[in-house]
Amino acid sequence: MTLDGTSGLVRLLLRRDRVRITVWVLAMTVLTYASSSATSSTFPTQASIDAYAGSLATSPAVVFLAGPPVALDTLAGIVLNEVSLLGLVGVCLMSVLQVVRHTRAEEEDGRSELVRAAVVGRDAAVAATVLVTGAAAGLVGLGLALATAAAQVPLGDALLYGASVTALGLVFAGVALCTAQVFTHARGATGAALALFGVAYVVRGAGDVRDDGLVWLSPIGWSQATHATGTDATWWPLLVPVVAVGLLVALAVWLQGHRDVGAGLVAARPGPGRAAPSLRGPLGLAVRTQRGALIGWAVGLFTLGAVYGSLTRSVQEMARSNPTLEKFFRTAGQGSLVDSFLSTILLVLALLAAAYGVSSALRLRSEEASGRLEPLLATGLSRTRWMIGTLAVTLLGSTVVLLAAGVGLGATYAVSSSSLSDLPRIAGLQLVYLPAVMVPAGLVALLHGLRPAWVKVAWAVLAVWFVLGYLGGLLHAPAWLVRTSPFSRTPAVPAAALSLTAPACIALVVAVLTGVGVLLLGRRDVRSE
Amino acid sequence: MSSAISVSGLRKTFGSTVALDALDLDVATGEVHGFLGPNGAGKSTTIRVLLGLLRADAGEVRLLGGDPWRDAARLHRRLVYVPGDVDLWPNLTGGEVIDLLGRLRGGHDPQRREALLERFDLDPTKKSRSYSKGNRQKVALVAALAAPLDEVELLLLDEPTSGLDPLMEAEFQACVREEAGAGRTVLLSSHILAEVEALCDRVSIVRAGRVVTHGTLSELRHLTRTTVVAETCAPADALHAVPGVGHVDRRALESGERVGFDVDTEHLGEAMGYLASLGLSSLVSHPPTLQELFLRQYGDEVPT
Repeated sequence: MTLDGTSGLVRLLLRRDRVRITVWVLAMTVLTYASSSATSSTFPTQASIDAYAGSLATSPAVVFLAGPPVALDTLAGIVLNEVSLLGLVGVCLMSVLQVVRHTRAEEEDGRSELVRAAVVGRDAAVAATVLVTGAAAGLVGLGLALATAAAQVPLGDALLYGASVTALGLVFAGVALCTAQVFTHARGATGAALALFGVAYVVRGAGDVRDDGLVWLSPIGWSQATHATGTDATWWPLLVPVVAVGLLVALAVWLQGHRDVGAGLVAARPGPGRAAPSLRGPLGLAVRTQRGALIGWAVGLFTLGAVYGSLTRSVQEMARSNPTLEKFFRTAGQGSLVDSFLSTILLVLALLAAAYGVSSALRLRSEEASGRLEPLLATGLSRTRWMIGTLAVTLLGSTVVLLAAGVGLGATYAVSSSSLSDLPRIAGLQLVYLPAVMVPAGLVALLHGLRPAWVKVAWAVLAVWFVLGYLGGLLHAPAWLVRTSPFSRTPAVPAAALSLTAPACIALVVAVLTGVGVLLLGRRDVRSE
Repeated sequence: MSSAISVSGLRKTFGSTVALDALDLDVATGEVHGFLGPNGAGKSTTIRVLLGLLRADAGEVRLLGGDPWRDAARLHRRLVYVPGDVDLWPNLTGGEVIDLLGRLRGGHDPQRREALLERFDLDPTKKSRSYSKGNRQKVALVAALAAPLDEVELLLLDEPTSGLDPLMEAEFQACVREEAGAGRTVLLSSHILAEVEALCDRVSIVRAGRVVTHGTLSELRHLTRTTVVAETCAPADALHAVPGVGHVDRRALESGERVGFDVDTEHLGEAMGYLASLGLSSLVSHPPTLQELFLRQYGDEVPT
């Protein structure tokens, strides 16, 4: 290891990121505090706590999404069950973005050449990144410990929860260090690390629902195995992430020692010297530039759907062994336990497909901001044709992604229900969400015409709808806010009766948003940044 | 002579920044017109208005007889554009980008495409992300110049040679001469004076959003001063009295003296007459270079 200059790089990183890290730590601490104190005030009596344990929180869908039910007969257990996911997802997102920002992104922009030409060792950048990201993850852990402790979680348990969050952040810092060695582009490195996070999340969820050793294959499982509160709380599972971080950093250093600055591990191959006949209009261009991302999303959501579908067997068993719970769901007007589970899953998959829709529609903005739009519009292509062609690929891609999710879910569900007709039925029900899925993308289209600097507001809107859909009734959100979401307006099939009135109205809204966006683009300047 | 481009009183603001302030520009059909100015003077903004990418706040803009804002796509079939800062789709190869842009404009001449790839020594199978700045520029040049001869009337070139090496720069100049020879109109925005001097019939110099002067190169030169260095047999004591003479620098030699000065071009004859009367042993005179012209337009000192 050549580490000369590490301390200087650490100071550089801290100088560049002092605001960024502060915002991450404060935002996660404040969110966790708000959420946990809201939760603890919702359960003032032991009776209300006992009711929680027997309700929705132990249903397989919630276990899959949030984690294993631990000490739910105590207030601390409920609070941690409600808020822990936020910390675990947030810290991983932070670690991955920070690590790639200081490794591969620096190399891609050519800045690390400048740094490495100074008296700086080959591994100094990796060491400095690990130190600073680790410290940030430590601060996040401490912040979350204090935030949950302030909401009536015993301090020792809160600290254990904070430590498990920090440990997970460190593991994904290590994962991102490795993907940053493999991929030439920061986007690829970030995408791969986040995809691995997705895999870890799904593996852990399946393990939690089946309640078996599968959870130990997932870093999130290691952190959750501490069971931060209650009689099972224990520190020793955190030894696993400590060892894993050491191995991942060693692997990253070894990979770095075997490649050139700026290069990845996969050499760039030449491509075709002539364009295929399909690469002619805006549609062909959008397909060609987005197909990689589209395939990734489709495969990802197909897999996620298939994993969810395979859990329906456990749900059926639970319904058989726990008639009270089954009755609770039926009287709550949510159909059978399995139907309720399926409608939650269909909603979650649709929300994820909407994230694809936004990222695809945002290409409108990146094409213009990068200056790539100008040479296109300097040809015989009109703005209207360009925008409609690009958005057509968003619609097409959203349909493919949604269908992939529905087919994945339907396929494994059909196997567990031994009824092949469930496959087309579920896939069809998934498509009921297509208009809702297109609303955030339509919002991007409108903003792109209206004021392109604002397009990313669509992410914030989708995030709100995501939280509303994900945490649903647990959040006690005001009814008007819930009614803004096209996902709440779409009938929650199969638990609710199928009706196409709402989806048709939502489709009309999408058409209006898009149409106005196209008209507005025709009236404003086209400018790169 | 009809105008390929005619702009009058063009104004464009971005927020509180005035990018173009009553800009006038006239490019006659068939000429190679140089559009000179430092960075930020408004050259690219003007070209973007001509392409209908930006909407003029005020003023009259005609391009190939049409309105570039309203008829953008239709007019674009009759022109090609090369931007100075080319960003390409990273996962497309150079060849794919050339074909895509050609098809969107209305088709390529396959023979010209091959010939240009050869001339610019460009490998079309490489992914755009691995191209250097100069190679990305070549992609844009080939995509533009490979358009069929009979369809294109106008070339809008916005600092098209940035990042090209001197060999490729020479190749580019040869291409532009061929285009001009075939009767196409060229608007060449540049801050490389040698390029403009080598290629352009007429020049417009833009500063802070206005065209401050325009005309043929010889007209512009006529407005300025000629530099003269001479060795005379007799001392040039009365030189400063000749009208239009300035910056006199006299140095005694073994016999006679060496004198350097500059003179308004309209008074050049009188200065020469005076020197001849003293007896000349050596005379070097050069007309103002475009660089001197350019610097003079910006009110800076001309290095002598």
